[in-house]
Amino acid sequence: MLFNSLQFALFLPAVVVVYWLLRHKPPRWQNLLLLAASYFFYGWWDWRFLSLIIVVSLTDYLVGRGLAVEERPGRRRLLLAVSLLVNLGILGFFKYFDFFADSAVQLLGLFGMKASRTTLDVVLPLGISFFTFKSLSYSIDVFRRKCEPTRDVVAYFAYVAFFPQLFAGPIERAKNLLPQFLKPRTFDTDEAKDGLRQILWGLVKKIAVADFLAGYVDTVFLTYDHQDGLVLGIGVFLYAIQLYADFSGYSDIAIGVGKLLGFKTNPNFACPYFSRNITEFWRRWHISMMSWFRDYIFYPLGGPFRGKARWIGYTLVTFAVSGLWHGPDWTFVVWGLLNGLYFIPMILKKKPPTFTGVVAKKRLLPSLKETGQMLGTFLLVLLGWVFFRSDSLGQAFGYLARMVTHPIMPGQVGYRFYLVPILVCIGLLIIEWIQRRKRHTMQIERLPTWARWSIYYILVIGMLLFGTFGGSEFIYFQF
Amino acid sequence: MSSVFKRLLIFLLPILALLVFQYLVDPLDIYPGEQPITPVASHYRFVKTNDYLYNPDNKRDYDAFIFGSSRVMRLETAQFKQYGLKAFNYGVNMTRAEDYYCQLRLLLEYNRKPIKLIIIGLEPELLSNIWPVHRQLLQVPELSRYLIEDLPLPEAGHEELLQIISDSMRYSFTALWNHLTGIKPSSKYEFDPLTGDFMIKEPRKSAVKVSSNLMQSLYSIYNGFTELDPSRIAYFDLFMDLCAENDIRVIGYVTGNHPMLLDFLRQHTAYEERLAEAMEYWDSIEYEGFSWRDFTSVEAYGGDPDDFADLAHIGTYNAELVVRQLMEEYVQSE
Repeated sequence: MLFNSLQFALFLPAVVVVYWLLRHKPPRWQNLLLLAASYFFYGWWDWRFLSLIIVVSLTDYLVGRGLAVEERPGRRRLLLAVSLLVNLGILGFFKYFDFFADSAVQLLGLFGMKASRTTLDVVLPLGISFFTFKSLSYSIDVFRRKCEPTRDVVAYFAYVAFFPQLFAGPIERAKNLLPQFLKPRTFDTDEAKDGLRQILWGLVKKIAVADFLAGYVDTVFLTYDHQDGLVLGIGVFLYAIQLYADFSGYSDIAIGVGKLLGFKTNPNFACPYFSRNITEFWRRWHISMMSWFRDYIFYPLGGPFRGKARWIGYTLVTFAVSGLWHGPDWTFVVWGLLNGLYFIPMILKKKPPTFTGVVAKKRLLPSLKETGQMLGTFLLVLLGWVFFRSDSLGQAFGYLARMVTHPIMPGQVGYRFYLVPILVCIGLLIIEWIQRRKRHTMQIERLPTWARWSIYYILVIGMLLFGTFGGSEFIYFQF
Repeated sequence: MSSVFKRLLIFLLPILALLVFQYLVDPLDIYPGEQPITPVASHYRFVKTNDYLYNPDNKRDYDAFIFGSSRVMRLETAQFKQYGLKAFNYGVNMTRAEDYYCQLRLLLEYNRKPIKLIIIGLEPELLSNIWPVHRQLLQVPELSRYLIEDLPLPEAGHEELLQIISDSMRYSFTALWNHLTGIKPSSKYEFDPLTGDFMIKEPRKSAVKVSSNLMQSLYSIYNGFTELDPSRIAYFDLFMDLCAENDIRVIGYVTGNHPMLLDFLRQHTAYEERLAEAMEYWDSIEYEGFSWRDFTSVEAYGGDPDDFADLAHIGTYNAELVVRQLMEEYVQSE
């Protein structure tokens, strides 16, 4: 079931109404409803893979229970190993078996050895990267004594399968989200309204921007060897906005639905394309994933504390793994490594600039320097997106090479075709720029009622008239 | 809590009114019942069938017809006069085999003269095993009544209901505007199969440009087109049977693409394989009054590789050459 489908438009109100009708009952009732709704939501796609969610939930719940009573370090490590084995084993098998089998055959081939190809054409269960990481974070945090192990099996299962976050995150940690499942929830009118506004903006980004741009991006990447550099540049720019609108749109809907149900979750995006350097970008893009990799891979490896050479090494490893997390393909690994390489100048600098606040916080426009920094960062990100979007390394390098060898072909390539999508992208960026200080773009509760309602109607009717309702999946579902 | 739901319901009322509005106007003819005003999305199947049947100036006394997709639309009927034939261009966009059959059944019923010749554009797509019946064919009852129930065609995939409603809503406003201003699609308009709009014909002013959306469209057409559809072959056979029964000479030609698009299709799709299969099928047709020529590439008819309206449609010079060569064949066979 997709957020941008008619089924979800019927499913969500039904769940929300029944959920709040149960508000006078103990939280377990609401959790049971959420669990049933979440399993129904997932089963709508493929009920068979529900067993994976159940196995993952059960394993980590039991590991948590074990860790709650076990004090011996060896035993505790053993319990954690069980959790790692189950979660990463399931993830590895379903997501990476074919990739590693293929790569091994190719590697042996390089040394003149022949091996038969034994791929299993394994179906990738939707959301597997998200729910395994979510559940795994619980085991690790309980092991590190950063999170209280729970006895409430229903709450834990509902936390892992929580339907707004099931397919594509945010990967909300147990220490933030799980306690919310354990206590009674009260309906907060302002939060609910805010949630509805955030859902609306998420839908606009998905339906009116991302899905609209998808066709243009697909055509450019499909026909790249006939295009000139300008069109290829436009293509990757459109893709950058498409990806952002798609994924941040999904996150907005997920967080908004959470608010409707009385849950508070952390933002997953914070205007990443207005970042002034690459470190700031990675603090603003897919925040829940990058903080996961930082806390569970980068810091355990040694983080920035063991000299610059190791710091660089750990950064590259972390980014390579994050690339691989996105998909079993070398394009993602190269994309990850490329982003890791971007960090090296910062690491080597004695005092790298750290941008923590919002750019041009008290001004309408950025300074010239800030504009340059943002553009530079954006260009680096665009370079990475070429690898991220390409079907193969050959296509990625071919795409980039053609930008250099055929920079412009006036009269041979149609540019007007891209005018409307470019305007749509610029429109989105302007709106996000204006609202960059807010937690989300639709935080407009202080506007007068007529203005708010006008905005709602413009967005809803605009979306209905010009939206793309292909029923297309969110890009991050494939990860 | 109830105030939030109440406000939400009040907010949704005008949206509901819009939904009712598009249902009543029904510009795409997707809901049952008559449309109160002329549907805006008039398409070639609708326009040409109406023109043929109901235009008082149309005497329905044609000797020859041109059948095919948008690729045959530039073949000028005026050229047929040189050969003593009065012709009607019945090309419609994205043609499938059942279109040919239904069109011919209609003409056999209504044309006041015996049909001597049909020039037919051939392309593998018309035998596609993934395209469902074109919705536009279903929207023209004069044609769709000839569809044969026993010949199951590929099923339409799940079409997103919201997308249909969105299109219907958008066109409702256009329909209303056209109704109020009296704008009607006419012969000066050219149908753009990609956008579904009628556009004013414009002569090409410069070299053909890379049209990535056209390439993408063609790519989609061949993506999943794994074999020739048996029912469509049956429709084509029935079409040929009708031609044989009525002694109609049929000259086909495999429509061509711009060399750039042709290279693209060969590189990225199963175009070559499907074309070979289709050619094998057209070769196997036993009707002696049928012959076909391979004009896949411009070299085949001595055309100008630069004379294309866009990557998929030949220009007027190439169209003239195509008609001349096909008509010479017709003259020789007569």
